[in-house]
Amino acid sequence: MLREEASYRDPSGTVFYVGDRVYRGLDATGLANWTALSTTKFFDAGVKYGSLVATSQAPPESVGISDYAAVLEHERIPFISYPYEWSFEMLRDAAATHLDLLRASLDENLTMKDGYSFNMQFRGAQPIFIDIGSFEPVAAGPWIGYRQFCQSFLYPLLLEAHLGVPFQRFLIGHLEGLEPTEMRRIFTGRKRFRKGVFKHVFLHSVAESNVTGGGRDIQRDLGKQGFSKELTKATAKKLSQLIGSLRSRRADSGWKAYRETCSYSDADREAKEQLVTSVVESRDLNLVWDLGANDGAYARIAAQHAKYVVACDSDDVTVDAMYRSLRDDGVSNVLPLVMNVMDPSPARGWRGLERRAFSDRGRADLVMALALIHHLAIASNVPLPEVVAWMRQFDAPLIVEFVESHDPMAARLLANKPEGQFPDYRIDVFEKLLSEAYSITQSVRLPSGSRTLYVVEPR
Amino acid sequence: MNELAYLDANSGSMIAGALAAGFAGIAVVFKMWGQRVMGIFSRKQVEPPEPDGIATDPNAASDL
Repeated sequence: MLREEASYRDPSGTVFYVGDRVYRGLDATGLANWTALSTTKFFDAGVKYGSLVATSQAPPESVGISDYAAVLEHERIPFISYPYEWSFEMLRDAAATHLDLLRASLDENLTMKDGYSFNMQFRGAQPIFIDIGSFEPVAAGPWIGYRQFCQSFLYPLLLEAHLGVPFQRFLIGHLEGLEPTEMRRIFTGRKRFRKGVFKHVFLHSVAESNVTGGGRDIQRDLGKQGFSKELTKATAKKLSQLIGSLRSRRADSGWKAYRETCSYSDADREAKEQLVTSVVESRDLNLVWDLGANDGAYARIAAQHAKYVVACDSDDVTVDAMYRSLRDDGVSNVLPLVMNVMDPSPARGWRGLERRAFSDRGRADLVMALALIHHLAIASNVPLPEVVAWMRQFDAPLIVEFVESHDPMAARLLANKPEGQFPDYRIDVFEKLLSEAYSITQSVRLPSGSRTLYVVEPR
Repeated sequence: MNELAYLDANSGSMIAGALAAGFAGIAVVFKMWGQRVMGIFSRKQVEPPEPDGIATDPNAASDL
C-alpha cells in the first residue's frame, strides 16, 4: 500500500494505491458523505459523462485494510497533471466543470467543501473531478470554497484574459494560487474595472483586509440571515458566466505565428508520419511522451496505436491550440501539457512529495523528440553529449530527429549566435553519441536533405 | 458538520463570497451587519461588561 502524499488535507478521507489501483479510505463522516453522494442523480450522470471520476465501494478486506469505515475504489487517471501545466482553455474548462458540478450538487442538497484546481485532472482533453471526498451536505451560508476557487482558477484566468500574462509560472511558484491582495496590487487603476476584477479581486481584498473574526461564525450568521443554497447557486452561475466569457489575449497571434514558421515540406511531413506510424503500430504501448509536440500531429498518430500519449510543448499558446483541436475532435487519449524540457515540472509542495516531478508520474514506453534537439543544443546551448544523456535517462525507445545546421530552421537559430560557437553540432557527432547510448534500429533521412530521424533502443 | 470541515474559512472571503451572489447576497450582508449592530446595543443594555481578570460566576447573571 502506498499513500498518496497529496492526500493529507481532508481528515475524512485518505487516498492510497495498491499496485495500479486507486483507493480512498473513509472515516465515518466520509462514509456518510459518500452514501449521500452515491445516491444522487448527478453522480451517475457525471461518471457517465466523464466529468466525475468513476468510483465504487470496495470491500475493505479486498485491500487488506481495516482502518477505515469504508473503502472506495477510483478509476485510475492515465497521467496526473497539474494546473501549472495546463493551457488557458484547459484551466478554463476545468473551472467550468468544477462549477457545473457544484451547481448540480446543490440541486441535490450537497455542496463541495473546496474549490481547488488541483482537484481537477484531465483524461485526454476532458476535465474530470477526482476529489469525491469534497462532496458534503449543504449548509446555509456562502460557499466555503469561493476563496480557493478565486485563487486557483479565477485569478490565473484573469491574468491571461486581461493582461496577457501566462499564469503557469505563478501557479508553479505558489500552489495555493494568487492571494486577493496580491491580485489587487496587480490590477490597479483602470484595470480594477476589467470584467470580474472589481467584485472578485478588489472587493474580495477589501473585505479580507477589513473584516475580522471567525469565518465560520460569519458563514453561519449569513446563513441565518437568509443566505440560502439558492444564493450559492446564483454565485456559481455568475462565476460560470464570467469564466465562459474570458478569452486568452494571445490565442490567435501565437497560433498563426507558429503556422507561418513551420518549414516542413509535404514530402518531409509524409515521410515523418510514415516512420512514426510504422514504429507505434508495431509495439504494444501504454504511454508515449511527445516532447516538443507543437500542434500534436505526431502525438495523434501515436495515439492511434498507443493507449495514452502525453504531448508537451513549452509554448502555452501552442498547447492551447492543440488542446482546442483535441477537445473539438473528441480525442480522448492525448493529454496536452505546457512544459519546457529545459525547465521541467519539479516536485513541489509538502515535503517535496505532494506534487510529483514530471518524470516521476509514469514511465514512457516510447519517447518522441521530433524537431527538438536543435532547440536544446543551439537555442539553449546544451552540449550534444548532455542532450543524449538526458534522453537516455528515460530508459525508453526513442524516435529522435536531428536537424542539421544548414536546415532553414536551424540556420535561423544559429543566426542569433556567435559564428563558430557550435563546431560539434554535426550529424556525425550526434550519431556517434547516440550509438554509444542506444542501438540505432532505423534511420531515415527526410527528402529535404537536412533532417534525419532515428529509431533507437536503449543499450 | 462545519466544525469538521478542514478548509479554513476566512471571514473576509465569506463576505466576498456573499457579495459575489449579487444584489441578494449584498442584501444578506447588510442584514447580518444590521443584526450584529442591533445585537451589540441590546447586549449592552442587558449584560454590562465584566471587569478584566476577575473570575465570573456563571450563575451571577441570574441574580441581576
